[in-house]
Amino acid sequence: MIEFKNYSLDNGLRVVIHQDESTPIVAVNLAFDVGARDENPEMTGLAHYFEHLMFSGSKNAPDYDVHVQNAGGQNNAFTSNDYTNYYVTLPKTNLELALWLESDRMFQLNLDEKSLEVQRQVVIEEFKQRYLNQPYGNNLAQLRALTYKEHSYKWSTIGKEISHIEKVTLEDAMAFYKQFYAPNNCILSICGDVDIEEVQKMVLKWFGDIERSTINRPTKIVEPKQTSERFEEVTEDVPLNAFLWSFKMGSKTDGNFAIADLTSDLLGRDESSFLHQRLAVELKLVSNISAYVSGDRDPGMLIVSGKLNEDVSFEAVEKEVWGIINQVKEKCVSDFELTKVKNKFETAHIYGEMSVMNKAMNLGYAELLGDVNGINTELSEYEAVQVEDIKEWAGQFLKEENVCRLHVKKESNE
Amino acid sequence: MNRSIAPAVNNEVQLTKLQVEKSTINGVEVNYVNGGSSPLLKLELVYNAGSKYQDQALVASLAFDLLRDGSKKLNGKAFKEAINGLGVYYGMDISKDFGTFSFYVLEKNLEALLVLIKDLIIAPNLPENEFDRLLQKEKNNFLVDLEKTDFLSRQKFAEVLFAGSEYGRVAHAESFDLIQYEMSVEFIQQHVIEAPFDLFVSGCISDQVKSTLNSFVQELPITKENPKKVAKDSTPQLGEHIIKKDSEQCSLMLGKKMVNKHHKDVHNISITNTLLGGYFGSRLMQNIREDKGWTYGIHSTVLTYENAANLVISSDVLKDKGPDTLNEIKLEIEKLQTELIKVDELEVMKNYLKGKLLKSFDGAFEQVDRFFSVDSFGLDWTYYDQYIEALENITPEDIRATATEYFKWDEFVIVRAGGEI
Repeated sequence: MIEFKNYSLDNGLRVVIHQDESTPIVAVNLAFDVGARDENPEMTGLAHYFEHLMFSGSKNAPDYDVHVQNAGGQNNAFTSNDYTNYYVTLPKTNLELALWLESDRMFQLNLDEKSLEVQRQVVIEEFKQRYLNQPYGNNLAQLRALTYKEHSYKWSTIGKEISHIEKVTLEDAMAFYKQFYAPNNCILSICGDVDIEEVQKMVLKWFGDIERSTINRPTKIVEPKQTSERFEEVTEDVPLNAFLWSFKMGSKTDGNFAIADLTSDLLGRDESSFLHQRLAVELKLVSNISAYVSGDRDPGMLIVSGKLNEDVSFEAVEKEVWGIINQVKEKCVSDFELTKVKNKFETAHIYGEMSVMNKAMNLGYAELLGDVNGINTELSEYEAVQVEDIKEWAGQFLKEENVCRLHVKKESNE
Repeated sequence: MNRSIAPAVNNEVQLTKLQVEKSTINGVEVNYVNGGSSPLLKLELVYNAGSKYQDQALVASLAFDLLRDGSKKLNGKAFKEAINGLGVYYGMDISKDFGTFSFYVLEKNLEALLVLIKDLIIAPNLPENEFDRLLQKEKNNFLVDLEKTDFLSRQKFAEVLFAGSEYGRVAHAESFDLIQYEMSVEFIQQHVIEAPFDLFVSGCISDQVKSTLNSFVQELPITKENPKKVAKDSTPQLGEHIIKKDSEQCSLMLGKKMVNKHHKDVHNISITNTLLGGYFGSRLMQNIREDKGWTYGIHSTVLTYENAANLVISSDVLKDKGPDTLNEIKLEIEKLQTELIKVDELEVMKNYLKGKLLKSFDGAFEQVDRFFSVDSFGLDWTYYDQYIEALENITPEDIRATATEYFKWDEFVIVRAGGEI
């Protein structure tokens, strides 16, 4: 049970404070409600590119990183399809420094051509290092594009193509900043050995006078219902054939997420899972196989993927995957099997509550999803899942007209 | 309120080091790092069974992979269901020096886990068909890795830096034909079954937990000695090694031998390395990434093994910028050797390192890692006191002297993989 104090400032900034007396470290997290899903389809990758630009310094703190380092802190950030998250940890005595820094860059960021150009190049190298220069690196992006026809989840956070990043201007970046980097679009969470009242005063002092923005998001596009199976095959310079499937499912907050998550765990979380046991160990069709859920704010995906052993056909593998899925749909899993995946979730959940950084991040994310107390009810939601729920959910979502299949075929040697 | 005045910063660091309770039970060195209130415990069984003990590549890693199959009593699917059923997260991994079993387990499931571990280390199952499957899997992973320029550079770097030493032995395509099932089985028999190990337990350790663990260790049949092996000294193949590959980026990996943790200059070397490439504010990161935009990241690290130590600098850069980046790295090192660091830059780095140290001692799981990294060299907590002392006292002249003595460019081995040659 994590106790917290949550409230909002007049300018719309949502604040969550949690006291943890056991640590000398304080964590400050800012979750901005903007991600790749909010991007213009002609300028994808901007949310992530902009995350880099947020380290360009601000009016009173021209070098953000140096200030953090000088305070003995460490910081980083990430962008997802749903939001952009910044975090800093530092010795607890230096909390106010972090609040000053974060408020200053929310209020008056320095943006100039030099940092725009350097970070453009850094982001393009990131695109290459993580996606293009890796075997299979781009396949998830291809699966996205196959799965979503209308919704902005059809591109990944790095962007659809490098050319989109190449054309971002200083004006584009500034407009993005003005709109989305405002207190009414942010959740500030703070965890550490702090005095809650004192922190409230500091937060008001540094963030209280930053103005709201008017946010005009693109009209929300609902992905049309898929009515028949989709298939695509790509040929790449890879050593082994691979397959990736997505099943469309609900959102993180649709009430069934715990069921979906546990179903994916049963199918392919670890080496005791159904898919691994059957396809990797018993039949030796694949060298690895896994299943997981994307866990998105809008309806997301359950993804099954694996690499085929040599001389094994896609047909043979996919027939067995369907075999396992049909088994889960037709017959309830055993109580032992369900308890197993619940127990693993419990361990991971407790581990996640051991650092102030994780707690600050989780509190911010829970609030972003609509209910900060979600972090305290999550475990019991998983606990409440019954074997019948799994069977019913699988029957509803894991079906042929709901799947998108991607084959990654290795180039032949001729 | 005036935004132009930054809130004051306090840079005093008070490290709270947890008391480590150390004892030897039945030939096993038991270490308890007790702290916190979470019901989660971390257990690590560390054996003298790293890759330096194997006679050829793959033997040790496949041996430890094979142990994932469980014991004679409970194996295959049944073992995996049992251990995962307890909600345990586990790893069976080898490094150059050690083979380690690690487990994250809720206190309520500890006793049940120990039963599984006991059977596993007394009588592992080690089936040949599972070995064949794992070998196939490793081979497939290897084929994927061969497509990655960073992997190619890392393999080559290990080979040329540790030439002549067990530490430089890496897998090649033919290694997969040479390895045999019996070799991995023999490896387990020699280094794990009935062999002593070091046990590290961290988290909230109650008396009950302690007594459970003590009797677990007490009741194990430990009949072997399994002494430490000393890896041969290496003769680095100096200069530049180029691996041709058509790729989007060029992967660089370069470095040299260093002194180990017992050496008096080890802390100054570590601090000098941080300045060069050990944090975001480092000279290399600021130059190659933040000024030139040639890379997503560039890092410099000092690695220490039982019988060797080395510096390694690595980066994936624009495909036509490999040679230029190498030249910039050389210039940055020369700058460290010739120019004195400005007091401001030094202060910021010192403050950063103090905060980082504080964070690296936050909680029992963190502390056990810090403790292991000194204990395995026969050192203790005072190592960190000496580090803080070095951090407080190091001068610009010390850094220049350290760079001059320990970062000599003509002692570097350099690997460049992919990109435009």
